Amino acid sequence: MPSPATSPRPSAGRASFQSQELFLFEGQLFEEERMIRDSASAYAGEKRQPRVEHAFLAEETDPEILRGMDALDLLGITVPEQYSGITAGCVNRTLRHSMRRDGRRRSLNWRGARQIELDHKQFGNPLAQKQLLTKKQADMMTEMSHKLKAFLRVGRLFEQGNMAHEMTSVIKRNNCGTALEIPRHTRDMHGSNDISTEFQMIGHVVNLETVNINEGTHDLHALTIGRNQTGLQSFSKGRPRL
Amino acid sequence: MKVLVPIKRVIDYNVKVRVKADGSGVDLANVKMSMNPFDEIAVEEAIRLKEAGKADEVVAVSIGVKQSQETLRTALAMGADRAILVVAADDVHTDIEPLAVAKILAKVVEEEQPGVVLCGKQAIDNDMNATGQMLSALLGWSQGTFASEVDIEGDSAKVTREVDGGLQTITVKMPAIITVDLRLNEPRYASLPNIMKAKKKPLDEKTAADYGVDVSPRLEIVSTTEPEARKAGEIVGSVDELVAKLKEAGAV
Repeated sequence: MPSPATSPRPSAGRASFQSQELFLFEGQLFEEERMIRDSASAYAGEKRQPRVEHAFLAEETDPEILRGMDALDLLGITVPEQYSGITAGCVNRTLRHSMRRDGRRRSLNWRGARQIELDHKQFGNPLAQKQLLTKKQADMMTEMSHKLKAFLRVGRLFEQGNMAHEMTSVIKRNNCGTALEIPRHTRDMHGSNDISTEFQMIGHVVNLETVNINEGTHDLHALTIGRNQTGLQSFSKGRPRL
Repeated sequence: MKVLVPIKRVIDYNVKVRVKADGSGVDLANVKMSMNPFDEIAVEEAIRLKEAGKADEVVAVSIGVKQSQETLRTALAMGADRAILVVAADDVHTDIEPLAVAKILAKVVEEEQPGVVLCGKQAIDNDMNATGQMLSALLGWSQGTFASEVDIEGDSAKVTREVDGGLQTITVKMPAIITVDLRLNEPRYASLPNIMKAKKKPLDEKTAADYGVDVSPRLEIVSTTEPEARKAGEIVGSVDELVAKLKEAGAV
């Protein structure tokens, strides 16, 4: 049971505070959005996660992961109905889904780190009460809460047909950046547990390093956003595109 | 044959439950709610009956607050054909007691004339484990509880029940109430297109008054408390001391 020091109790008249979602994100979703989220999330946790873990250990790629997602029609959901997608009305979740891959792991890591800190005691107090660690928790939670809000906003704009591609760049860049930053924090917080299979942290870090560095996601999106700001493209030596 | 599946909207099983400060119950404001997991199994079984050609219609019914509509949509997304929402409370904290639920369900059964009622053995919020049994008594129908296997053939059903220390197989006469247990099946995930289609499936809204059932509580909640926190462990100096301690605790 969380002690009052780690989990503030809601006082009368105050919105009940769930430490998992600071801005009461749940209430901003429509019914079918919640249903899709729940379905995808249940699948990701129960079926996909064990396969991902095993594939990482065995150094292989498991095609079942994709087949399972296909069975739920999670792949290509922005595609129009006549091509067996489900088009708009649901596109919100596309973005949220693409975030889920990293987001789920990130929040798993955050949750794991939080639990370890609550459970482990140093000089008679839970680790979670140390300022260095409290600050990390605050940083991570702030990042995740802001991200959810941004996802929702851009998702809704997409549905209305008002999304600019730079918005995707901002989100993807920020997402893959913090998706790496957070497990780095949580690695610190886990102490030497971070490299054990049980906590699934190192696999996530290795995965994200690839996205960030090899695929260049973070830097490339920066170029796109930069062009939007300066009006000058810096991809190549060509003429500036205005 | 028509299958009626009563479902309940409960606090999600992943949520860490918090007791309200005044001890009157559990805090449900801004908490994730979902379909009672046992009811999910009942919905799955009903859909499988339909897929096997043994049932031609699956009707889901939920009794509670208006938000239960969302839970019914989940059942529709899984594959139920239509749904009935019986609004019986305004406040999400109001729990309709099993007898009132059973009385409403009995009226729904009268109206719908299903060949079988498949429901979860209990709801994970109050763990009452009573509604199915009460409904059976009210209707005078047979009951097969804690089902881990169901085989409906003509006018009888073979139900394997999870009883203490093993399994019991019984044959019940149809129509029957079957309450399902955890191992009966593994519920499917609703696919995205089915979630979208569920929006267009019929969902009738009724009230408890429509069925003439008084849902005011008969039970009084005296107090609600959180489980005791786990006590700290103890380090022992030797194997002998460990054995002595275990003996003392009656563990060996």
